[in-house]
Parts: sequence; C-alpha cells; structure tokens
Amino acid sequence: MTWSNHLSLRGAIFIKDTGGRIHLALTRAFLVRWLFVLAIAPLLVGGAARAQSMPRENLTSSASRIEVKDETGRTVLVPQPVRRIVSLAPSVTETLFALGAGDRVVGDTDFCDYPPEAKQRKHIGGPVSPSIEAIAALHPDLVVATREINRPESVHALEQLGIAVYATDPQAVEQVFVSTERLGDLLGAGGAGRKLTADLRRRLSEIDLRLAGLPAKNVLMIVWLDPLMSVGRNTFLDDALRRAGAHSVIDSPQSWPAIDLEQVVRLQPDYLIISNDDARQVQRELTELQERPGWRQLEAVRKRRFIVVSEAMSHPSPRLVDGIEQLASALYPGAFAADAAFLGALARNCRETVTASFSQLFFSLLQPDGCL
Amino acid sequence: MKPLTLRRVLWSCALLAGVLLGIVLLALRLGAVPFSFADLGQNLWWLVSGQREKISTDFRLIMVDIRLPRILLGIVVGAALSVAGAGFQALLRNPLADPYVLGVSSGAALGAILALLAAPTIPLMTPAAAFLGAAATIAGVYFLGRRQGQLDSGTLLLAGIVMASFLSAMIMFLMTTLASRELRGISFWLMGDLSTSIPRGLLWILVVGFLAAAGAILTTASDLNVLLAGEREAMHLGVDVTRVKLVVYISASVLTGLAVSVSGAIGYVGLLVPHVMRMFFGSDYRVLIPTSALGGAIAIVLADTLARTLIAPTELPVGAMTAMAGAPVFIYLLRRRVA
Repeated sequence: MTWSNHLSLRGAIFIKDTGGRIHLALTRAFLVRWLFVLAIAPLLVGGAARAQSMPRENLTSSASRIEVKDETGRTVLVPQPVRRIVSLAPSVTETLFALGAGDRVVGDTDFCDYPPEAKQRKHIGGPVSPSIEAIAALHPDLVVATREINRPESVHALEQLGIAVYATDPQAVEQVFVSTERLGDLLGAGGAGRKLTADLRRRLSEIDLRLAGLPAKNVLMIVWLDPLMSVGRNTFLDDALRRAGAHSVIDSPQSWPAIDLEQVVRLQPDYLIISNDDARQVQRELTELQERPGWRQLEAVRKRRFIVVSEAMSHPSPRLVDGIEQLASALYPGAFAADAAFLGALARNCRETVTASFSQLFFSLLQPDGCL
Repeated sequence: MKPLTLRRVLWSCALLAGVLLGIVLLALRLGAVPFSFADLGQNLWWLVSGQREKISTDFRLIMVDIRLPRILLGIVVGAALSVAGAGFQALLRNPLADPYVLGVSSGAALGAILALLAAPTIPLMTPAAAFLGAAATIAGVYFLGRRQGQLDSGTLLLAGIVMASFLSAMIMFLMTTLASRELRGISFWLMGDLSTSIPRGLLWILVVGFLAAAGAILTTASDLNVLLAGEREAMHLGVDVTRVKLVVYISASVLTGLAVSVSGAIGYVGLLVPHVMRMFFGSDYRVLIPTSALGGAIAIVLADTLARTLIAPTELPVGAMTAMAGAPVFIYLLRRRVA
C-alpha cells in the first residue's frame, strides 16, 4: 500500500482500495478522544440550555396560592380560588360532587360514573394510567388524586409540569369524613363540607344506636373472586364493615390480601358480602360460586347467605354511608324492620344508587335464607 | 457479498435517520390532545429559532414539556436496548440473546421494588435503585460467569439465566407477601413504560451514558466480526478476546441498566431490532451497531406513539405494544428470509 491511497487524519485513516471504494479505519486513540468529546458536549449544551431557560409562568389564572399539606404528607401550593379541578379516581369525583363542586370538575377518569353528570366530564384515562397531556390540556388549578389507586409516578409527572396535585388517603370511615372536610376547605366549600359530614356522622350514630348490644356477625367480604381477595386491617372497608355490625373473618396486615379458600372454609363466615351494582354479573358469579367444589363446604354458601350491597360500599367517599346502611339493615333486619321511616329513607338512598332490577335482587336478599 | 465501505455505512444510517425523523414528527403530531401539522411546524420553528415567547402556552406544556422529552427518552432507550441486544448476541454467540438474558432487568426491578417499599415518595429514588440493582446483577453474573479467570460465554449465559429466574422469584415473593399499595405501579414497570417523567438532567446523563457505552462497543466492532468465527480462531487472528468480551459485557450491561432504570423492561426490541437490521444491512458489526441504534429508536418511538394513541386518553404500557407488534413482524421477516 502506498502513501497515495490512504489518508491519515488525527487517528482516522481513510483507505482507498483497488476498486476505488473508501474504507475507514479508526485508531483507538481517535475513538477514545471523540467518545470523550461526545460525552462532554451534551453536558455543555445542557448546561447552556438550562442557563437560558425561562422561569415557568403560572399556568392558572388564579392570583394567590396557599400552602397545604396533603394526606400523604406532601406540601402542595394550591391556587386560590380553585376553579378547574381534575379528579383521578371515582371516589374523589363522588366526594367533589357531594361537596357541590361538581361544576368545577373539568375532567375525571373513564371509571367515574357517579353521579351521572360525572360521565359527561372530559375523561383523562384510567386511574392507573391517565394521560398526563390530556390532564395538562384541561389547565386544571388542582388535580385531586388518591393514594389508594393512583400511581406516585403520575403525581410526580404532574408536579414536574407545575400542576398542583392534592392526594387523599383515607384508611377509616372517620378519615373519609375528615378528608371530605379538608377538601371542602381547600375548595372554599368548607361550610358545605361540614354540613355534609355532620349529616353522615348523624346517620352513622343512628346505626350505632340500633346495633347497640347486638353481637357482630362474621362475614367474608369478597373484593375480588378470581383470585379470591378480601379486606385487611387499616382499610376504610374493614372499618365500614365494623360500622355495619359485621366482623371480617380475615385479619391481615395487607390491605387487599389474596386468600386461600381452605382458610375461608376453616373460618366459616356467616355471610358472604359482595359490593357490585351490576345485577347480572352478581347473579352469574353467585350461581357459579355455588357450583365450585370447595365453596360448597361453606355453610354460608349452602344456606345462600349472600349479601349484595351497592358499589358505594367500596368507594371511600361520602356515599360509603349508604353502603353501611344497606349492609347493616341486611345483616340485622330485625333492628331496622320496626322502623318504617328508616327503611323508607334507605329505599330512597337505594333508588338513587341502585338500578331497578338490582334493588329487586337486593331486597330479595334481605331474607338471609331466601332463595336467590 | 459486497465489502463494507464507509459510504454504505453512512447511507444506511442516513436512511434510518430520515425514517426516524419522520416518525418523530408523526409522534409529535399524534396524542390525546390534537395539533395540526401547520401548528406543529410553526411552533417548532419558533422553538428552534429562539423566538420562544411566541409559542403558545398549550404547545409549550404539551409538546415541549410532555411529548418531546418522552420521545427523546424513547429514542435513547430504544437505541440503548438494541445496541445492547446486538452486543449480547455477539458476546454469547447466541441469536436468542437479548438485553435481559443475563438478568439485568430482574435485578433492576428488584431494586425498584425495594426503593418503592422503602421510600415511595422520594422522586428519582426508583431509577437510582433500579440502576444499582442492575449494576449489582451485572457484577454478580460476571463473577459467576468466569471460568479460570476468563469470561466463558456458555457459563455466562447459564449464570445469567439462573440469576434472572432467582431474582424473578424474589420479585414474585415480595409482590405477593408485601402487596404494598406502592407496588401497584410495578406491573407497569415490569412490562415497560415510558410515561414516567424524567427530569432533563437525567435525560442528559442517559444520553452521555449511551454514547459512551455504545461507542465502546463500536470500537470492538471489527473484533466482534472475527469473534463470530469462534474464540480460538479470533485469538489466532490477533484479537484480544479477553478484552473484547469484557468491554462488550460491561458496555452492553450498562446500556441495559440505563434503559431499564428509566423505562422498565421493554421487551422484544433488543432481540428483534438487531436481527431486522442484519436482514437489511448485513451482519457486519461496523454497520450493525449504528443501524441497530437508529432502528431501536424508530421501533420504540413508533410503539410508544401507538401505546399513547390507540385507546387514548388511556395509555397502554409500551412494552405490551412492542411485544404485540414485535412477534408478528419477526415471524414475517423470518419466513421471508427462508422463502
């Protein structure tokens, strides 16, 4: 090879072969040098870009901001007044509507179906994988999340965009009320919030009064059927069961423990409880359940002691009290039957939450040993 | 077969870069919030020409703060996974090797889970812990995979697979026994997900890490070509086999660790893209590595755009998308080559 058919340039050697094609050979020194430059350059460019980046303007029209601590301990700067809210969970949507802030909800999740108006709001995806850009496009003053079902990643992504995210985390019935009040304060609806929770507390103490002295009944709350999941300690649902005079046979430190059927057979709950508004699905599930081999070992299944309550029971929102009332009156018909006024009120609540065909099913289930 | 020239490498890369640019524009245009191409062009011009004050708030929020960083992240992750895949396929001399074959993703996932359990609210804790988990796995597999002080491809592969299944078992154990509420996101993570927002500083670290590690693999490209003939043969031809294997092992693992720590285990891309590139551009590693980087970027940006838009506003994890699209594409290409 002669000098004329190759060219060396600071460690890069271009070689011309007999066919006239040019090949490139690189020495290690050349590669190391350029790798170093390649590695350093983005850092310099990045630094320069950062230096000239502008301060982020306020995205909201609201002038002032207040600093609050949310229920997960994060400090949030919330614009005041809050005019546009995006909810990231059905229970949050229900709470916002119950506080009378429904007209300020500009976006909610695909699963927000109560009250019916919630379905007409702009949907931003599911609670677990919402579209961050769809939320940002709604220009919310405040996004309300709940630790129970939203992912910290979503909250973090919204924070990065300068959007205020307030997260709730109720783990007991009383905490649902406190959470509702605090949210009311934040939205300038503190009065409505306290009026709402005072009424809810009154309804709960009414139930307490009726159940006073009655022993709690052992139940298995079926949160999910396949795999079988129930409630553990420190959940709002476990507390709600207790308030309705039910004692969950499952005692687990996990929030939503997966359970072995064998364990259920050993514990022999008096009643099986399902929270679902879809009457047909419930019917299908219960029929199927009675045919499964292991389940027939359960006294509650043989005697058809199933109680179906509305989905209100499984949402940590003010509607939870409706669910508690339904369950309490189903477990202790005697304590409630005497009082026509209470049943009337209950039926009214039920009509609001439960479809017609479902309420029929619901009342047929009030007789524990009645046929399904 | 025609000899590889610099011109051919450059043209192949230019072609793929053109395709990537087109896909990026498409990805910018599509999303839960619609923008017209005219709007997009106008605002992009303002952005590039420095007239930032003219850009509308919506555009800045959606494009500059959300879509663009996500696309850039997709490009880096895709490129890293594909180069790592090509590297492992050469190192292990196994066409089925992918970036996760040696358990790096399981190690990273375990790190992420531990971080979510210990400090769920600290941002960036998850990627940091995931990277540490990946690094620990890399080191562990390295020591298990040595034989008489040398990296042995067969031993390395076995050590990696054993490590991967052991770590996966640990993950399943933690997920079922602890079932903490913070672990809800982990299923997304295990499938691969680009929706997590990454601060710009971290993106730069990724880019730098990618360039360094991919560049290191590129320096061994001609040695890898020889290595394909077998280790003994390569050694006789003057290749420092020990050094090449070490460089490729560490670089490919670092690439995988970087990608996994920010996006979870996005499957198929690292396995498929190098094979597709081999079919189009030949199996010379000097062209395979740069084209794999570009091809991987194209694949991930395309898959993520589909994941964002198919059932918008709900988002699919990008890993589900790559697996769904990847398998049929692979079978098609394989059949075509056989026919």
